[in-house]
Amino acid sequence: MTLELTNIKKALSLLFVLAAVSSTQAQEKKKDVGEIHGNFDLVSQYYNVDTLIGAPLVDEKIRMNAFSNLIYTKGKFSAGLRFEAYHNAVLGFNDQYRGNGIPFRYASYSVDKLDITIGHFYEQFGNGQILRAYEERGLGIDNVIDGIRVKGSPLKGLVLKGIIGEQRNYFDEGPGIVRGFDVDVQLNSLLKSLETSKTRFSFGASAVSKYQQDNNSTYTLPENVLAYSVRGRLIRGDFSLDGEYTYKYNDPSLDNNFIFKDGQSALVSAAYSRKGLGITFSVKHTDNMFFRSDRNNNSVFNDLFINYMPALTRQHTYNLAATLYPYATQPRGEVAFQTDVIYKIKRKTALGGKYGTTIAVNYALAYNIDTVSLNDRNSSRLGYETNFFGVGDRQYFGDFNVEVARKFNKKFKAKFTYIYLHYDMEIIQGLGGKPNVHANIGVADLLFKLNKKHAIRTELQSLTTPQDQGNWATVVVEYTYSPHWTVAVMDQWNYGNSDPTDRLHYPYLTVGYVKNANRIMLSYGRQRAGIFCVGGVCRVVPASNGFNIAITSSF
Amino acid sequence: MALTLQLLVVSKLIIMRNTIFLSLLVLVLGLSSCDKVDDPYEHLPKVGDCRIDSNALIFSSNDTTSIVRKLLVEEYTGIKCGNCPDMARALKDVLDNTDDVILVAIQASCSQLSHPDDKHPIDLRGPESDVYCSEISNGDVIPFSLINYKDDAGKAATGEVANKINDLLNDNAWSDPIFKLTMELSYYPDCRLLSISNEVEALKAYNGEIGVISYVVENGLVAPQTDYKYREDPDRLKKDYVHDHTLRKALPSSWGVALGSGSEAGERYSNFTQFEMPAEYNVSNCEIVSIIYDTDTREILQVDVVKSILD
Repeated sequence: MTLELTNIKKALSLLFVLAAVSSTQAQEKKKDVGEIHGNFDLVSQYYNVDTLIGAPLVDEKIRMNAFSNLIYTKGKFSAGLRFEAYHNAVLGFNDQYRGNGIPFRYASYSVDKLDITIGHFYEQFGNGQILRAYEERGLGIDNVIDGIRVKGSPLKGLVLKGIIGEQRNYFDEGPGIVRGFDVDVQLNSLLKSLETSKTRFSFGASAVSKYQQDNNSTYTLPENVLAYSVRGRLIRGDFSLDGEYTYKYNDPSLDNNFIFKDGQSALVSAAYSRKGLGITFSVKHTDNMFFRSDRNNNSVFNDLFINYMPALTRQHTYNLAATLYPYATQPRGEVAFQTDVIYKIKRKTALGGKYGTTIAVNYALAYNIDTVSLNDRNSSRLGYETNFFGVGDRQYFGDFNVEVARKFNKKFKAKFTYIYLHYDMEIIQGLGGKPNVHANIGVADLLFKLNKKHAIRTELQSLTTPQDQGNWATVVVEYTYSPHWTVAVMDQWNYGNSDPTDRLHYPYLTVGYVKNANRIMLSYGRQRAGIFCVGGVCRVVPASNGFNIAITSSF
Repeated sequence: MALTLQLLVVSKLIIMRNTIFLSLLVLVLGLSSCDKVDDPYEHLPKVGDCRIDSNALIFSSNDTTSIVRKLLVEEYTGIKCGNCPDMARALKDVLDNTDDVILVAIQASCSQLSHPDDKHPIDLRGPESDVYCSEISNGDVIPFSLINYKDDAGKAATGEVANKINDLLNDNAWSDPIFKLTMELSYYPDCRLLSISNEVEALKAYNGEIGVISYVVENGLVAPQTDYKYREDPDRLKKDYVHDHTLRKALPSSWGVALGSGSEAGERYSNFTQFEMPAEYNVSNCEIVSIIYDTDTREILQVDVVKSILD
């Protein structure tokens, strides 16, 4: 169902009618007429050909992504839409983002503890490993559901949700229907006897099913695929324990080469936290958990995913660590572990200094799962047997990092980071024949506050590795003139590339202006090809050279 | 206990006051159904334990662009028979000069010379080896060939085989085809399942009863063979002798299946048979020979071959 012009007109008409009604009511009663809020976001790039870095010829020269949300609310009623425009989508986004449309429109109201939404809605059950309809603009992901959601709280501490609909697929909708139900119970609120308990309990359960017609001539496929999950949380004092387990029945698809094995995923996390100290340990097992509403879509753009598999790794923000070797969750199967320790050395101590010092240590590992092949391609096609939480013999990823942050005085604070990465390029990036990368990364992030309005921030980054593209260095100098202006210069240098002709610089200049809710950013320079990830979900960013303008605004 | 009671009270409250949510629960759970598929191939046709994926079938057929009567020669031989390679060489010379002769080599079980021993450990006898030679006078004395008949009427020794073949090929009365044979094969590699369809059309009236047999014949089998002309070994044993045209199996049985009798011109018969190729067969070296014969006189009325199953 492509959203055609008539649909756009209908959606706009709806908003205008709502506004007109509000206006009429305003004239009549001069009281609550409701509110309209919105925002606008535009990213546009002008592309130069740059054969040295592999920046291709772009026929249009200029490309642009833009969207605007308009939301009307009055009391417990809300309606809204989002207009999106891609002329054409900037490099790195799927070309199916093309033209204009209103791929998001909804209306909802709440009455008597019942909340009803018709149209598009975002939703998440538990931690998302069974259902997460979400939008992540940076990745080009929007798997919003178009249908109906009913949410209610019949009792204090009890929330029930039911959903049904189809998922967005660019300016179209996927072929599958997604149905789901979730119950969330806060026991301490539900049961009076536990209201004052120092131990807080909560648990939940979900069931999600998708329907897609079987039109495959090779296999007899399940048209209805069910997944269920259970979750629980226990908090007592400084300790907390979280866990969620998801089971998915046979879901043969292009992602898993049409095997009929059931999938499962479990994530358990234990945390201890008190003032100045936080410790978290998490462990995850994932096996055959691709869950899309179109079994024939295995797009690298993460189309039509019903679920979301969180990554058990730290999401780095510094350029080299974040975009050269970030980890992407492997729904096919992984066993992952992560430990986080944050400790703040008290201020006014010898070690802590005048303002205190924060030390954060993170260690994350991801391995393949332990499996035994069944060699049943021509019979039951279960593919393999899995040893639950069994660790395989191939390490996908390892990340040990330490971050020390300290404010030295009112004008200077610094953050020093060391990262060691083990990175399996064959698995994570799908680059057959590439070696495992072992990289050491060091970052110094220095902030000098010259006075109340002027500040300079500097990043010095180094990545050394004998594999892949070799060593990199990055320098960032960012000057801020509060509250409006920011100017930043960045250069990345692949000085250790084994091919001397590839020892290139990637200079990039950015000027930003902010006033109230408006922000304009102009950039020019080279952008290195890399990978952009959010929460273990990634997008390949191609190399480019040129101007970039970004505008955001809200009202 | 108190906690249990409270849970019961809460449940009652839900049931009494919130039937809408329970209805919703039932509705959504009903919608959230699941199809458990135990057999991903259940929609596919099944033969024995093997399912056929029509997308993966390999098809082949004989060449029917011109209808000629072809000649079947069955060579009865044995791995310990030192004179047998002479027969094979004589027949090879014939085959080199015509496409109208189809050769099948049969290890004659009636003769001890076809039985394996320490020096000839590879047994090339098939299930039909004994059936056929036992029907022939002095079937244990090898080598010999059967030309155009599956009984004594076609018997020829090494020295006469070439002349007898040429005589028949040059006989216009014999050469006039009585039946047209169309062979269509499909092979499903995953199950090693071979399907043979033989379509027979009478080109002129024929009184006798006719039957059809399909042979699975394998080329390129390497097995020790005694050869008196082989001088490089004192025992005259050629260890890497290549056995071509070796009969592996007759389908659907040794004497095939009767199609009918008293055929009128234009009358058609068909026969379909399936066979799971054993693992020891090298399918890429196998060819299929189909024979139309008179079940009474055992004269071969038509024969043709599909030389490659995998094309």
